[in-house]
Amino acid sequence: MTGYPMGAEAWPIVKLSGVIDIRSIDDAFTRLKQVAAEGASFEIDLTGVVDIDLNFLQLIESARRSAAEAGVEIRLSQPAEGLILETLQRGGFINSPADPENERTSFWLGQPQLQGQI
Amino acid sequence: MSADEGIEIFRVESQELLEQIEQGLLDLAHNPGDKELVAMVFRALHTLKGSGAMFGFDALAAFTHHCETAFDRVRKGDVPATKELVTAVLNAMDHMRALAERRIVAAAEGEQLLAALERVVGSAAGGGTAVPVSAGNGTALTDWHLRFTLASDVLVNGTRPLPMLDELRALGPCRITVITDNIPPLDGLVPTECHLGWDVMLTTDQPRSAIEDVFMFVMDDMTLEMTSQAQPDPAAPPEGPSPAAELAMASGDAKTLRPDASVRVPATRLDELMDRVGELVIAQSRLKQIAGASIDMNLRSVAEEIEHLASELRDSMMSVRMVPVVQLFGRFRRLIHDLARDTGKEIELVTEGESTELDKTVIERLADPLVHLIRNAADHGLETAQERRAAGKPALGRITLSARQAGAEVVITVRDDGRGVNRERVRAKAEENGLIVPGTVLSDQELMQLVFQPGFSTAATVTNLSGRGVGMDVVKRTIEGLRGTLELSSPPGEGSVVALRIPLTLAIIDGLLVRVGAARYVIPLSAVEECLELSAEQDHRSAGRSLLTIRGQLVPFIRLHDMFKTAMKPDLYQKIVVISSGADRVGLVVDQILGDHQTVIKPLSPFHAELGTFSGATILGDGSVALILDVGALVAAEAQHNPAQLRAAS
Repeated sequence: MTGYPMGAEAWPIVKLSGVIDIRSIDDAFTRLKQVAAEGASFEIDLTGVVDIDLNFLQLIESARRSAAEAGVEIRLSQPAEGLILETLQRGGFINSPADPENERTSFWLGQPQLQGQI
Repeated sequence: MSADEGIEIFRVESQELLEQIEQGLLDLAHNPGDKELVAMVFRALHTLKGSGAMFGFDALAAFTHHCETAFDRVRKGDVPATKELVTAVLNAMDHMRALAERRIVAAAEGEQLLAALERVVGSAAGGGTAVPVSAGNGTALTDWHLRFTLASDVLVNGTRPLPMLDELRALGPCRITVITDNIPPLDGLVPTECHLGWDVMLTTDQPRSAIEDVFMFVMDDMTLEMTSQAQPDPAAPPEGPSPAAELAMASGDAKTLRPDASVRVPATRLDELMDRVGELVIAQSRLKQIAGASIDMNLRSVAEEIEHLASELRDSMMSVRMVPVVQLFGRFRRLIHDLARDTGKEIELVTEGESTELDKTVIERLADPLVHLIRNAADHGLETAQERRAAGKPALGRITLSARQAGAEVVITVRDDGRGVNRERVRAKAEENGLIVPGTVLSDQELMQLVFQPGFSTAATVTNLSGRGVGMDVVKRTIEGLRGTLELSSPPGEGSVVALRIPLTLAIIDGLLVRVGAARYVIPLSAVEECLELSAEQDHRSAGRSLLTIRGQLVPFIRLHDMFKTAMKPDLYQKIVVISSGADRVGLVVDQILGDHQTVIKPLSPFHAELGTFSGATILGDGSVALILDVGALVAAEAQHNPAQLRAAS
């Protein structure tokens, strides 16, 4: 299993876009909750996301926790980069990109790692 | 707390930071080598920048960054703290203030200020002799371990934690790791709430206060654990708390960090609370009246106890609203700095009695009149250095701002050691403007009062500081609106003095309740000097003159019966309440003195607001209304109506 699809099987994809901050977090929350309620693994596509704040990172962590409890997986379509990666680093979510042992790092940056285990 | 409230808190606190920076800069102008001042200004700029970014004031953060950088160079000894540098940052502060208030400002203006700052820093770095100034911490490094969580509504209220984390990183090598243990699964998540915490390992030479400053705006609602361990450096022991304090920090939340903890309360809540206390005092007054008419001893006892408690509550509430005038006086240091620059005069400001306290509402309303009086003193009163030397005075002109409490009033004086009031010019100007008929005989005090007439100005030239003929009358109106009085004196050769007498509070006063005809009135107790009886014989003897001799001094009196055109006949034995109004003593003739009365001041309706002789109304224990006399306006009205009589006594 990988942190983002590398020729992986097709999972339902939640495509998010634009700026996801305190004002728009409810929409992303509702969509993730709906998909998670189906009880299957899914993929999140962040390629259209322009900027994020901590609410969003917290939401994704919450979704990962729910997935772990349900025994399913979540993965990103592509590794985090640009402003998303910068926010991850500023917020202390990722301290060192070269940390394959860190499960959160591999989720965001796509290191081979099991998903859904926090 | 909503986002608006969060931003409002930042605005208020940023004003305090700006105030702190301004005071530090003004002190630094006189003492450029003071390391602690440099460090303080740097830290305040740093905090303003960081917290500005935290609350989304990005323009303020970006602009302040440049000033902070300049002061960082001063701190490190690269650049000396020259007067030019201080002035450049002071000029930049007005821009910062505008950005903190989110006023619309031209970007070009900010760029010009920064260019000027850059020029000053560049020339200072090139030519000046920089005194190495460090933050005063030595170079000892301390390892700090921080663990903190923020309030769940921190994101909703507009706070941005990311700039706060950046601030920590700016203090030194830092490893920040988010703590996600408290994030609930999707089903239990409220996405706008914050469930994150952070674990921070920081190595810095900065003091504990520098770390605490990062959390300044969120401290009240967060939990913070801090432990430290000094890195081995025997030359410089690290600043750190006692082991006991350390333990307290490790176990408690952030509130335990501040022994002088205080709670910030919006001023409107204090006003609401004061209104409630006012209502309570009115209700207590009714209870007292009912109990007084009852033979039930239990009721009387409880009424007395409630009276006692209400009085204590009133005093406590009033003390909460009192703030030292230093908050007001502090603002004028910058004004003097700017006035000295604009007039080319050498001016120093001396302040006295800064711990004197006044009601916060009064303080706020005093700022503008004092600005005008100080400007007047600097512009008209003080001479140029050349003129002063020629007159045998020191070149440095002095403006003294002082405050002292006198009974239920605070007296604030603005004194300058300049040329004083030119009486001939005042008279000539008054005659020219038609304020007096040429040749009118006036006492010195009356002549001085002309200065407060609308449109009066003796300034030969109109400057942007004063001399437009608007202001002194506005000052007078504002002070009278505060139920205060204002006097100008100018002993020859001793400059001039403006004395403002202001009541301590505008909310509740001690009053003397009197009856005139069937109506009752309140006279502010602070104005009352003594009470006398006016016998029928004295009344008859003084008819037509209304003058009374008290201990050898003639005191004019005003018959309120006549003034208020009361239909009832006066009582046989009337009373005179002798009041002081400015320098005058005047008697007010009433039918009966009912006693002292805690008076909750209620404003008059707009319909009655023009009645100058009354400053407000109050509700009595029986639910009826009593008007509060404005003794200054009352005497002035009588003086206008019957000038010869009041002057006869003076």
